[in-house]
This record gives sequence, C-alpha cells and structure tokens, in this order.
Amino acid sequence: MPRHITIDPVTRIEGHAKITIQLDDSGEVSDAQFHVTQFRGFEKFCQGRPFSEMPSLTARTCGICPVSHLIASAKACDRLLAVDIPPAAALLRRLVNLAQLVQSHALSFFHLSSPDLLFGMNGDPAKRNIFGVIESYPALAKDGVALRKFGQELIEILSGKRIHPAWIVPGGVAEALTEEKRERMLSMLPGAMEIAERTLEWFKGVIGRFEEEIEHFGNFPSMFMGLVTPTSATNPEALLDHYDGKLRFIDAEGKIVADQVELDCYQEHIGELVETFSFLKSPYYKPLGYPEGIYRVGPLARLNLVDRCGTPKADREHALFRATQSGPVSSSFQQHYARLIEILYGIEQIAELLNDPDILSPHVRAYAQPNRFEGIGISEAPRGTLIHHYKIDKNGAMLWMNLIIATGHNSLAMNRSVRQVAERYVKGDQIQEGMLNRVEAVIRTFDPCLSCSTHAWGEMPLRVTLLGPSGQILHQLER
Amino acid sequence: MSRLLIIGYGSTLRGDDAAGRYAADRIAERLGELPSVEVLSVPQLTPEIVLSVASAEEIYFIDAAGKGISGTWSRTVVLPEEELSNPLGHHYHPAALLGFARALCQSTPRAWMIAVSGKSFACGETLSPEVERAIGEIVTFVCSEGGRV
Repeated sequence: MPRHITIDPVTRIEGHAKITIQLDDSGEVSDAQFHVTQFRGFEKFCQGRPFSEMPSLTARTCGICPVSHLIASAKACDRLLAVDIPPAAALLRRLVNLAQLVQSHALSFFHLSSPDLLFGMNGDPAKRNIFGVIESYPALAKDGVALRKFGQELIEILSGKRIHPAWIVPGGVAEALTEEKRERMLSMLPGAMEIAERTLEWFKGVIGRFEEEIEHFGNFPSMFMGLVTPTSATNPEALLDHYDGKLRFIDAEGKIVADQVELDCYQEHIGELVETFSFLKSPYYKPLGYPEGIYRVGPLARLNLVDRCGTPKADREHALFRATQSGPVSSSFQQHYARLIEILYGIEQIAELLNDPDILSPHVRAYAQPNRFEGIGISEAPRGTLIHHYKIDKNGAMLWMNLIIATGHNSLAMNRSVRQVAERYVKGDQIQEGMLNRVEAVIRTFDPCLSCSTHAWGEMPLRVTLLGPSGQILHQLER
Repeated sequence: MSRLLIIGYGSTLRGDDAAGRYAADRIAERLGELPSVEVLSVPQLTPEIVLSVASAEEIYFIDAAGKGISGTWSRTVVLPEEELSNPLGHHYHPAALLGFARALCQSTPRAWMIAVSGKSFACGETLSPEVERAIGEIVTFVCSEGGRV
C-alpha cells in the first residue's frame, strides 16, 4: 500500500504551503506535490470597483512586492486611458521597480536561503536558520539587512512609503523627483555596490560545495519566459528589461520559440489550469499543452533569455554565469547565483537612471478618461513575469480581472522540482531532517511569494507524518 | 551616529493607531535637522530599522495602546528580549528589535516605550480629541529630551 509524507508548513518562504510526498510499497517516491493553501480572491472582489483603484488595491496583495503590482496595474490602467506616459515617469517607474528588485532579492538570498548555503543541507537544524547566521556570520547578516534597507529607503524616498506607496498611478507617477532626493539616493549607491560585489565574490567562491544540489535541485529541461528589450534586424541583441519590453520564450536548448510577443497577445501563448490540490493556478505554454508546456520565470529565466544584462559589471558576471553550462543554465539552484547578478545589475542601472538628465523633469503624469475597455500591464517582478489584465465598463468600473503572478508561472516547475528532489533524497521508513530540508530548499530556490500568487495568517506546527498501509504512524517529525 | 532615535509607528488608516506616526512627524518638524537626532515614522517595526537602533544611544518608541483610559500615556523602559523571537519576521515589537540589535551589532541602547491609550481604532484617518491632546504632551516631552542631546 502506498505511504504518504506531508511537510506542513514549508518554512522560510513567503506565504503558506505544504508538500505531500507519496511513497510506493517499496519506499520509493511515486509522486510529490506542492500545495498552496492560501486563498485570496482579489480577482473577484475587485469587480465593480473603479479601475483607478486597482494599483492601490492590488498592491495590498503583498507586503513584500507591492511595487511590482503597482507597476503592472498602473501599466494596465495606462492602456485603459490609452496614454503614453511622460519619459520621466517611465524612468521613475523603472527606478522604483529596480529598488524593489534589489531589496526583494536581498531578502531571499540573505534571510531565507543563506542558512542552507552557510551551514549546508545537513547542518544542525538548531543552527541552520537566521539565528545561526546572525551568531556565526554576523557580517553577512548585516550586509543582508543593509542591502534590504538600501532598496526600501530608495522606495521610500521616491514614493513616500516603503510598503504600499500611492505614488505610482495611472498615467505616470504622482510627484516628480527633486535634486535633493536624487543626491541622497546617489550617495547610497557605493555602499550597496560594495555589498553586492562582496557577496557575489563570496558565493562564487563557495559554489563548488553545492555540486550535488546544482545537479539535483530542480535541474530538468524546460522552457523559459520573460520580458526582454525590443530587438530588430539591425539591433538583434536582447537585454534585461524589468519594466517594459516584449515577451520571449526559449526552449530547453536555448532556441527562441516565440519572440517579441506584444503584451496584448499573451493569451495566445499562456494558458492556465486549475489543479485540485492547490489554490495556485498552473500556467503553461499553450502551443505545447499541459503539462508539456512547462516553463520557468524569474532571475534564472531572465539571464537565460538575454544576450547580456546591459550594464558593464553585470554583463561580465552574466558571461561567467552562462559559461557554467552549454545552453541555458538549467538547475533551479542557480537561481541564487542569478539573484546576486540581478542585484548587481539593479544597482548599476539605478545609477544610470539617476544620472539621466530627464529624470528631474516636472512632467510626470498624463491625464485622460478611459478610452479603451481592456488593458494589459506586464512587468518583471523579482520572482518573474507579472501580468495584470483588466476589463471595464463604460463608466470605468471593473468587470473582470485576471492576475498571473510570477510564482504562478513557476507552479509546474516547483512541482517538478519537489518530485525530483524527493525521488533522490526521500527513501524508506525513516524521515531524516536533511531530506526534508532539501525538499523545502528546492522550493526556496524559486523564492515563491504565495501571498501574491493566490490573490492567511496562522501558525501551524511543522509536523511530518509517515503513515503505513493501514494508516498507522510509522515515523513522525515535529519542529 | 544618532544619539537619540525616535520611532513612531502604526497605521494611518485606523484612527488612533496613527498616534505614534503623528507624534513622530510633529517631533521631526519641531526638532528640524538636528544631527544628533533621527526620527522615523513607519507603519511597523521592520528588520531594516535595526541598523538605526544599533547606532543610537537612546531610543523612544511611540505607539498607540488598546488598553487604558483613552488619551492617557505612559513611558516604560524597554529591555531587549533575551532570546531572539523572530528576526526573520516582517514586523517586530520593540524588545525584539533591541534583541536583534544586540545580537547583530552588540549594541544595547537605552530604550523607552511611550504608549498612548487610544479611543477608536476603526477605519479612518482622524485622531480622537483626547489622543490629539496626548500627542501634544508627548511631542513637548520628547522634544525637551531631544533638546538636551
């Protein structure tokens, strides 16, 4: 008779989830699933509200990446208004988007994932947590806090608030940037850059310890998707673009499958399926069907999609990163590496934007009444591509909304990764701590934001129970 | 390095819960740009604040309280918690933040909590009159502390 292992809740991720591992009679893994247990309902309760409220409302989906929702939502509203926002507004939106990228990646790397990297997957659970990092590696812990502070402070300087700012609006932004604020942000850059470079060098020095994880953590062929800069016959090079650009899909060998896809056409390429075991929808690449159309988004995907990042230091690191494998880098473990390169890119790009003379322009908002009944906004959130799709009536009231969240795009990939790790590390009647941590750790490589992706609070004890054929408890672990 | 750090926190959308925020904002206006004073007005205490906490000598936390006679306020000493409760969390209480500062930076500033009892925490952006009065008293008190540093 088959046996069941449940990890509930998964630790050190944003939001709540559990993992179920099914063993067959011989103790081998026959199936594994990643269940998202939160339900949010944004797509429903936003119906009937004025479209202009959507940036503020959808920002409340999450306290970690509200800026991402503000950006995608405002872009969808721009389309409803049928406006081109002023150039300065686009620069400022790019700036705040990158500030968020830096702080979110810092949270993921330093706070959520560093215990595994510093103490190893088999490290003493009593130390393999953020307390252990603070005690044993205080300099690294401080760097993580400082880098996150950097990103949060930029967001606050630009928009007035660190969390749920009201500054990003349909048509642009609410307020122009002053010289004083610009100077303040510029003065913060050297310190942030130092931390980013130091951490990247440290990580490259220790990555050799993780050959096993690189080989077996979510390492499987898949497509990748994300936004890239517009390309043409005379300018064929695709660079990172977290704010705008066109969609690109590549296959597991790196061949471009769909390119320069206009954002309004996303539904021709992306379908969504609801699985019964999770509140997280499962998007897939439509031409290949479900589940063959599995694709990944996020830092790893973005670095696989582009020819280079677009800033000098990040370009050098990107070249080294891509040289680690022929074709796209396929191991989900390498998301950690990709995040650090994106932090570097973010800081370099923030410097370029702050030094753009147009960024101080007082003209930062375009005004109009609704001129279209349907609007789509797509941007790159820290975790991957974020889609806001709205339909309104003639009075501007929301009729329909579809949100495809970055973590949602990775739903199939997270399931595949959990199964792959479970097949390798979970065996027999006894659950060992290191096994469980590896299953959780592979989820952490995706840095999922489950609060976002299921558009609930509660504390659950972590209990893993292995049941025998008759339902008797064979083994149980509690945290 | 700030000798005096003032942190007012709470939600500006829930009536008297904004008391700490308004107090901090008015303190910042009164004290201006004194180099030895840092004022933070934040929705909640987050881990990043630990760097400001660790570099201060004295700290005043200002927040609304749900208990007590509305409009009254108190000042109590805050000690760092002995065992870190959750440095990974998105929001802290003052003792946890002080504990984090001690663990991360070996810093132990003197700290006080100024709690003002609120009347209404319903959705809204106005303060009740008694809390307004209390904020005036708190601002005067803290600014006198700020003036001596």
